[in-house]
Amino acid sequence: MSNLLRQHAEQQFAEELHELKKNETNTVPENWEMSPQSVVTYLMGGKLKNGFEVSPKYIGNRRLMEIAVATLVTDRALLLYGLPGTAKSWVSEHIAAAISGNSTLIVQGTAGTGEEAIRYGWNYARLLAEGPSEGALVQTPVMKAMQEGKIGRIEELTRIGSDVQDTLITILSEKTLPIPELNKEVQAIHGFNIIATANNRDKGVNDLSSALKRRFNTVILPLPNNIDEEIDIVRRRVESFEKVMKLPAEKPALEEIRRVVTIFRELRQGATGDGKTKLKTPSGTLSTAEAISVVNNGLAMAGYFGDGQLHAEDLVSGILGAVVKDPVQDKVVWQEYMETVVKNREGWKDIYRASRDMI
Amino acid sequence: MPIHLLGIRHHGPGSCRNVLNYLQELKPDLILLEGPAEAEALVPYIRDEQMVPPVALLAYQPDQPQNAVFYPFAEFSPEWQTLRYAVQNEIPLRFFDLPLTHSMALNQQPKEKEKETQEEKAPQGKEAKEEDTEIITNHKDPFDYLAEATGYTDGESWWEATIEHRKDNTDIFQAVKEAVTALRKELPNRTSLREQLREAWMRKIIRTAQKENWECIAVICGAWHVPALESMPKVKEDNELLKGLPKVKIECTWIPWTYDRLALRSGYGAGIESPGWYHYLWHHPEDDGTLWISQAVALFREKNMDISVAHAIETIRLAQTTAALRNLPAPSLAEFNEAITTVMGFGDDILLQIIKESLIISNRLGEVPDNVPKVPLLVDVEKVQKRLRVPFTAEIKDMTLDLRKPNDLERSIFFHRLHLLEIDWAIPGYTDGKGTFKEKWTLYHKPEQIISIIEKAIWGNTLEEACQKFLLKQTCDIQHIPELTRLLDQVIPANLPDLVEAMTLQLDRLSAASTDILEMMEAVPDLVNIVRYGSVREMDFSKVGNMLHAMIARILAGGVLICVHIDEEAAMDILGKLASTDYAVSTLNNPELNALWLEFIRQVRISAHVHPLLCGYATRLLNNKGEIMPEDMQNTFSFYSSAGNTPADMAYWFEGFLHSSGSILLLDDNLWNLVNNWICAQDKDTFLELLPILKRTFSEFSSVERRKLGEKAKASGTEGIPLQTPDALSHNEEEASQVIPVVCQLLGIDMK
Repeated sequence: MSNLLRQHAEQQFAEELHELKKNETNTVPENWEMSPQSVVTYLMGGKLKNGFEVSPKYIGNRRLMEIAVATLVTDRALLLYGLPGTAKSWVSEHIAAAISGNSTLIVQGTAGTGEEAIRYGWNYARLLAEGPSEGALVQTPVMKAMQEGKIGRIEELTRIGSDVQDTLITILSEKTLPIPELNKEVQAIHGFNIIATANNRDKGVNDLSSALKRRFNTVILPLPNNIDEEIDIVRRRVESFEKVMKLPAEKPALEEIRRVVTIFRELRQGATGDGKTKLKTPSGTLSTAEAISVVNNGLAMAGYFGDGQLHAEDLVSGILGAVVKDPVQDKVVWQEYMETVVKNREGWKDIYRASRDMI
Repeated sequence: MPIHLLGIRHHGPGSCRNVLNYLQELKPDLILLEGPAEAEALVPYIRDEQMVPPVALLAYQPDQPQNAVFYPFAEFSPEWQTLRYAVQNEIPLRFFDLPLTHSMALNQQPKEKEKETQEEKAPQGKEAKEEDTEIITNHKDPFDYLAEATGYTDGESWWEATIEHRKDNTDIFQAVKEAVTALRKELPNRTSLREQLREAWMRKIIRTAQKENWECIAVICGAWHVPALESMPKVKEDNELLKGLPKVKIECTWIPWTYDRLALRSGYGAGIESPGWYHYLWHHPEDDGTLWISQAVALFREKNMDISVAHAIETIRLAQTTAALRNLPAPSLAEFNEAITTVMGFGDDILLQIIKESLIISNRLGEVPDNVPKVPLLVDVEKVQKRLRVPFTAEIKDMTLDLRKPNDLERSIFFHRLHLLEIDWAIPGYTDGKGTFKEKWTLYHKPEQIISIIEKAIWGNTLEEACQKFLLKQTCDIQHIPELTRLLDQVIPANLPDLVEAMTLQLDRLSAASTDILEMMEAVPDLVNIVRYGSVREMDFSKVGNMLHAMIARILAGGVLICVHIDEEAAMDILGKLASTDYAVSTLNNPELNALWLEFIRQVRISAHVHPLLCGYATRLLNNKGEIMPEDMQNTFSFYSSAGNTPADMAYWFEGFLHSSGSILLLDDNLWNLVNNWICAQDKDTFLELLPILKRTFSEFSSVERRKLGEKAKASGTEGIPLQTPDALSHNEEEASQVIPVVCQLLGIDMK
């Protein structure tokens, strides 16, 4: 049993990947670990020919995953786009794990990401000692992916400055990375591609140039369609976290998850589930991912400081933290929600009381 | 005499191609096609060059045209191509579905049943049939079971992928037969009584054809019926089933149809969501998507979107890869749509909205030869359409008419007449901007409108005649004056002088008999409108004018009576009518009418026991018209504010006097001075007594108005402004005349 805090997708689901490869019947593209059909099965879950059950990684529209995988077959790069917490990075990690067996060739985009993080950098000690040489070259994940024919991942593409973003153009269209200092170039081999993720909320910060945009196929990952789908996602993720985190609390009751998800959905949509009451929306995104972390947080609270049962008090502090991002405006939103909706809802008194104690 | 059964899906381009290939190979000497026997006489019209699909066979009951059915045909319908094949090769063709004379009668039966419960004509009782249909509707599409078994999402996409898109189609009809046979064996009781009747009839016709010794018979019908026609039960059973079917009279014709109506989203949908896509599939079976995507790209560029050739290439590649991933033989519309979204739309499906109308539905309107038998009213409507150049079109069209132009005026009359006949092709809109010579219409053709025309055909053979008779019938049923004037208002622009005369007579009769002055008051604004607009349309409405005089005279005669001894609610109601009637009369500005009306108001003001609210309002109207001298006004004020009045009466009077005139009080210094001076003249005690009443009156105004009034009162001091002499009220002729040219220019009136 590994003592890693978090395993990579290819480590955690090694058995599933192995079984999928074993049961392969379709054509496998060059340098891919498995056929596109199997990649989709890996993402969406399903039963293999030998009866092996593959767990679903993405809960939602299968057609979206098919389009995403087909994009990578056509050797166009894939841009996963959506609100924060809609499983963009999660999907990107799993696709990379399934196609290349390696999800670690990753560049995290930030406002400070420089060109050397995407193309190549130099080991300055050796550069001074030896002059420009291959030994002094520091390879980036993108360069490695090109050489090995694997999927490279770029997180938060739109956080990276536009000038740096554009270094990707040559890589994506010519599939080559020139190194003028050595009078050399790295040419990508079959299997190389890029999956980037970007955030709706960052729209307009560093918009992709149209030249770069043209190199990406965009798939928008939506928020869960309905409350049951969202509850399913939260439940699965919380259960898997429990295993990893070894939380001492009991398994969360489905009812508690439903309440958290309901609160998040209602505030996100600005209306109650029955559509009867209009609500103000807080400034935070309130994604599914945040619902997951609220439940986890609650479990930890219950486990370490409570009686091991998940109670409203354990959840409310987490919910408050997620909803009230702006201490003035969001607090008004929350209080209004408490007074108009939660107070009068059957069986929600405990949440109301816990929240009143806390604010 | 072998029988070849061809199971198809209605409107499938793949099925269509298969049928055509099969027929060309088979060369049958008789074709039996699923369709109503009554329509056989209409088949030869297909040869006509003027006939352009999409068209529909329309069958209706001449005495109840609303009981009608459509059989729409597009170019890619297997039935259409079969008909064409038969006509071109001069092969006899028979429609072999249950004749409509029976099936439409069956439609009628549930309704009639309520009346005649003892009637038991239909075989096996009607209840069974109704229950059966219910069961069917609750069930899912039987092809869904096949889809489930093979891993498609629904029956539609299964059929699409396995039958329609198949490139190699040897033995395809054999395969369809086997699939449906298996389905029908697994799902018995899925066939309603009506279906059983239809199939029995089909078998009957097949047997007749067999007896006639044809060499080779091709039978083309919906795939679902194939097994029932394959295994023939005993003749006796069928005859038993078909015994004593009810009958009604049926007439058939061809009408133009639209792709829009073929689509699922519309009422008589044939169940295909994307006729434009099928149209493309039918015309370009070999295309790999290049042409489709190029068309889409061209459309995007028209909308000023930067879409390059590279985009198009990537889109086609992605669509093909996705289709391969989904194990489809070729990309379907769904794959192309998704590829466009992903590659060109950056994940956003807004682009699909752009191509939806013009590419995916690709709306178009069919054409029908002129010599197809039609009801006379429809012929007349088409004649007028041709003359005025306003044909039915597939797309929605906006039209602004300038009634000063003769052609536009005629169009307007035409539209108004259709509107009166409840044919909703031309929908009146609101014109922006001033001017009564402009009219806006939205033309939106739906094939059902033809039904409405046929339905109205009983009223007359020309549009004018039908309109007159239809409305005359309505007029006779109307018992309330406002209802009649409202209708009259609609009739006027349709230029039906005889009808107007008849309606005026009816109006006269009604108003003479009526004691309801309120109704008459309500009618006045409509009548005024008619008289005013008559001049725009160069029509003579002196009769309506006379009517108006009579009406106001009648109001004058009995009007005061309705204002006495009434409560606040009734008084408020009358006040509203007084206001609108006064507005109408003032706009008409006819001296005679003005005098009559003024007299009426004067009576309201001075008569005893008139509700103070109305009395106050009448005073105000008269004051506005300059009919009361300022001194007189002061006296009136004192009169109504003196202690002899009950506080409530005082309050009502002021409410009536200042009714909704907060702003007027602000801007009209004469009115302001009147009120202000009067208040300033009160001593302290009286003022304190009046205060609550005034407060109540002023509370009606908005807070801004109140604030401004307060400021104004403060500014004018406690003494008030001395009364102005009447000649200060009159305007300065010289200054006023300088403004007139500007006003004329603004209104577009030529002074010369």
